Amino acid sequence: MKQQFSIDYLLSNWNKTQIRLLGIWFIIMLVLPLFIDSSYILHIFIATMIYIFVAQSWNILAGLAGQLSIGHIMYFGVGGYITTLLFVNFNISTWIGLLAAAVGGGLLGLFVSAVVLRYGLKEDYYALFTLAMSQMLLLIFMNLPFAGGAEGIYVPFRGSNFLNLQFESKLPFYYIILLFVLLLSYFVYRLMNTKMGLYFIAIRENEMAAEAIGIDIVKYKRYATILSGALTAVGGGLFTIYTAYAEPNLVFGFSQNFEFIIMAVVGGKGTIFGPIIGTMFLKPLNEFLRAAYGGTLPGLAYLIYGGVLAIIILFLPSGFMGLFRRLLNKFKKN
Amino acid sequence: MMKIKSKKSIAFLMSAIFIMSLFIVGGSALAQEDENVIKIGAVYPLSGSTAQNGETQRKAHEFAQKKINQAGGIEALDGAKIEMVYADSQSKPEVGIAEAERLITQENVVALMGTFESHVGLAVQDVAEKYGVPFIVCNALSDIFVEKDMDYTFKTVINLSQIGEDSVNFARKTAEANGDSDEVKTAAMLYGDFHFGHEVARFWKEYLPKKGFEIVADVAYPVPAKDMYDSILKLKSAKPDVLFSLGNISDSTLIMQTMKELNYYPEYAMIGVGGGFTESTFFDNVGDLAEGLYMVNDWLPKINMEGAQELNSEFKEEYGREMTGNANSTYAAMWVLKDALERAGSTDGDELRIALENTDITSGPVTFMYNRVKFDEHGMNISAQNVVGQVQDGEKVVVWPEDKAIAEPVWPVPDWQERK
Amino acid sequence: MDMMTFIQATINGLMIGGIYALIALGLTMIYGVLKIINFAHGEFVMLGMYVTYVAVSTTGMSPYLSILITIVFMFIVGALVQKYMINRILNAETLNQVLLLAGLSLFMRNLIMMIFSPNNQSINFGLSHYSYLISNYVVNAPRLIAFSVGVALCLFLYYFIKNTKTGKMIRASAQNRMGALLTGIDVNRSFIIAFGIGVTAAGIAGSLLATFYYISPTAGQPFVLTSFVIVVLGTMGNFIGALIGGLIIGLTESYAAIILSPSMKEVVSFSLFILILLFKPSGIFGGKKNETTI
Repeated sequence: MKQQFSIDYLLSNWNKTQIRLLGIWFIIMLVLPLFIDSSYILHIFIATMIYIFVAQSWNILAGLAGQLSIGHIMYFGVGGYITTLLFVNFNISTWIGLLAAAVGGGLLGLFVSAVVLRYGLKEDYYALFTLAMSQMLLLIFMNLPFAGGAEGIYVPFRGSNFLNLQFESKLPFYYIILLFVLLLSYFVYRLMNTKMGLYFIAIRENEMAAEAIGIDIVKYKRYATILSGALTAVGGGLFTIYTAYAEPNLVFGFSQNFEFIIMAVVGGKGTIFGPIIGTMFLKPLNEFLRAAYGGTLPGLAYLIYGGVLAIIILFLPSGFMGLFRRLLNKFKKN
Repeated sequence: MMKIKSKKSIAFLMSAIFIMSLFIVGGSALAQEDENVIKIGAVYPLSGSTAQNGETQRKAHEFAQKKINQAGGIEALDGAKIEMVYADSQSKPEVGIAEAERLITQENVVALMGTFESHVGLAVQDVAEKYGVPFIVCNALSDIFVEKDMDYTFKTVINLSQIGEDSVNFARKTAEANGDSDEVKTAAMLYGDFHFGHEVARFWKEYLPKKGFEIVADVAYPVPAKDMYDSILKLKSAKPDVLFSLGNISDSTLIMQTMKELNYYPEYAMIGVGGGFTESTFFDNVGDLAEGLYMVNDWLPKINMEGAQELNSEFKEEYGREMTGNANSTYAAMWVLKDALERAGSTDGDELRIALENTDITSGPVTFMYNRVKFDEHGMNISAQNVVGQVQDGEKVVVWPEDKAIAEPVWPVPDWQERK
Repeated sequence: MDMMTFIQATINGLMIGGIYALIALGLTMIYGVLKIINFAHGEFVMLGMYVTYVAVSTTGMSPYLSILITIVFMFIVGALVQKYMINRILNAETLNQVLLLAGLSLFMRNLIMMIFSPNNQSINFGLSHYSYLISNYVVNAPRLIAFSVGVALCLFLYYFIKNTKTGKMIRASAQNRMGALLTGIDVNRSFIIAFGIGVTAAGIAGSLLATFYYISPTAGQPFVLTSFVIVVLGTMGNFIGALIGGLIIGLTESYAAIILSPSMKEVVSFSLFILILLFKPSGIFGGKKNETTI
């Protein structure tokens, strides 16, 4: 038993360690509502968990497979619109809407990877391409009357209904999104041990070497994109149903792109627990700063936030998980 | 070696920032345990591209807060003082929801006001309704606020649909009054790709044909705009008789300036609606380029209403700007709330709601703007009405409707070359 | 569209294109030399606007004179940012570089907002809104001047990078860092200068924008993405390319706005961007794929 908690063990089974952390986090989040009676605080945690979900989805493509998808929000927006349009116009249950969103996100991922791989876009060019795609989608949806244009789509409350993921109180949604995050993170853990996951990591570490040993990098990059795109789209659907509104600038916005990415990177890109800890730190910080200063000295909140971000990126490039790992190594030596 | 040092310094820095903020927040939390104070929550975009508009509303609230407290506060509650608590919506509904919840549950505000942007306000409305806290919509225009079946929403500001209708009606009526109604046949729309823009454009598209206008140009510009030259060039080649336009402060400024630079003015008139064309900052930036511009709004400084000019001068002295761009409706709404608090004699949500429902004000500080404040069964202020004003010799004078007008409209508006 | 509209649209497109190019010059320098996607570029432009605003509103000097102040101020800012921030992440992952600059951009925008308030400002001087009328066509004076400065700056930078000693050192450092170090070139200093110049160019663009555009903390943002399009189109690090790229984009958007609608003009320029990325990512002046020519 002692061996299981020794630092050596923790370090050499890094993923397992993170799963334990995930477990601890899950239990904490499970019982947390018992100690909060504020709907406001509950809302902050729900929003945080939606962000975790999207950050983790992005993590699959950018963290595991190492693809610089900066315009990743395109999947988020597409998912958000599909889910809301289906619900609002055809009264299609949200669960089915989320499934449709996943399909939509996956298809978009297929399209993006086809284009990128056919024309060999790498690194910076790939990043700029995804950015251009996301902003194009913004403009397109802005000019689509059936999608509400700039007015957006308001999602009416059609009564407390599990099938629509609409509830009177916030509690049910809290537990649902908690489950989503748990399942996705566990999925990432399992993925890292499968052939596909290992291939992703191999591609990230050294694409040429991976190709040299016979990995079909075109195929696996495509898989990563589709998988990540589909999951991100589900995140978008969850977000728009919860906030009951979809609008081009909100779900395709240039600055929204960075929000999810920053949380994953600050936590530790490519790790299982990274997106969780990064978001758990940054989102409440964001809320806290806004609550404290937003009404009195608005600029200050974002000034501090921007400053904190810059400092973390400068001094902790592998995020919190990287720091944690280094600390463990230090203790090990002692 | 460098790395260890910097790690220590970040840890230090971060903890320092955290601790500092905790102290400040803690400090302000303590300060709140005050005596006899009634808190009113206000949610506005205070950062981002519409922060300017949020700031204008804040000034209006502060102005009213000061005057109400100076006049003795809420007498029915032992002279309790009003204290505004502001929150930044970041122009996002999800943030509006969070801040509304925070204001209600943590700050214990007795009412919510705001939110300048309708898409945020509609989300805040649901929160207010859930908690049974009155929400006074004093500067967000969407009709949807009063179309939803809400008990706790009270809207003092005009409905967006009225803008569409009034602006078109005015153009037609003024043409008729000038005898050139037969020549005034075409119209163009110039609006931005944002919520307000698309919503008003919808109403314009509906009303313009009804009033005998053929739409010869439907120009939507991207927001934020880098450049207006292409939009104005389209208008120039379409040659509309009347131009209907709207925009944020930045867009409206660019529109006006580009029209001058491209040497373009509509045949008869330009009618501007919305925040951009009535905000003080817009006028500061375009100066005399705005001469002749028609504006549709709830209120303008030179209006035939009791006490209007004096109030405007007072506001101008205090804040260096006129009380335009919805600062007026916000200010008036504060007094409406004050009146309701007095009659309710309590801060309880339901009692305040009932008091608001029974509002019937015909005198007092709101008469600079409203003849009679009374809410209909949907929570809409029956005397919410547009006026149309024109910039004449640098002054924003009301020219319609007749009972509020101070001057006659100048029609047609002279071209750039014909002005001094 | 009729001939008159077409000609005016062409004039408009060239003018705004030259201004886009002016903004893109700094970006292409930074991208070409340091290989960094500078998402804070719009904020550096905005800083230049505010320098001119402060100079003109406090002393009443001509905004064109204030450019001298902008140059000094922005170079210092650029050098400091490079030395203490960019330098640390030169070898880091692209993603971290992008995020650092995004954080920096958030910081700068809000710092300016706190100092100056979010309200739009503008400067009024002799040539404000003044346009030359040539038969039926209109050319705005401040824009024409900004356009001319853009062309001049482009040629100046081209000459600088090709012919001066410092310029050659920068080019060497950009093409082969290790090789340059080995031949005794102070690569760090070259990068500081290059970044400083890039930021200064952005600042100059800002000062000129202030003569006909509004000034606000968020005023630089609309131009960022367009600048990237131009940098890629004109080949990273190539100043002449930035100018030509700027003109192409300016004209494309101008025509697209008239033929389709102003709302759609960016869809067209982004589509062009995507096509370039797919078929000729090295830009107009690029040789083999992914090669840069600075």
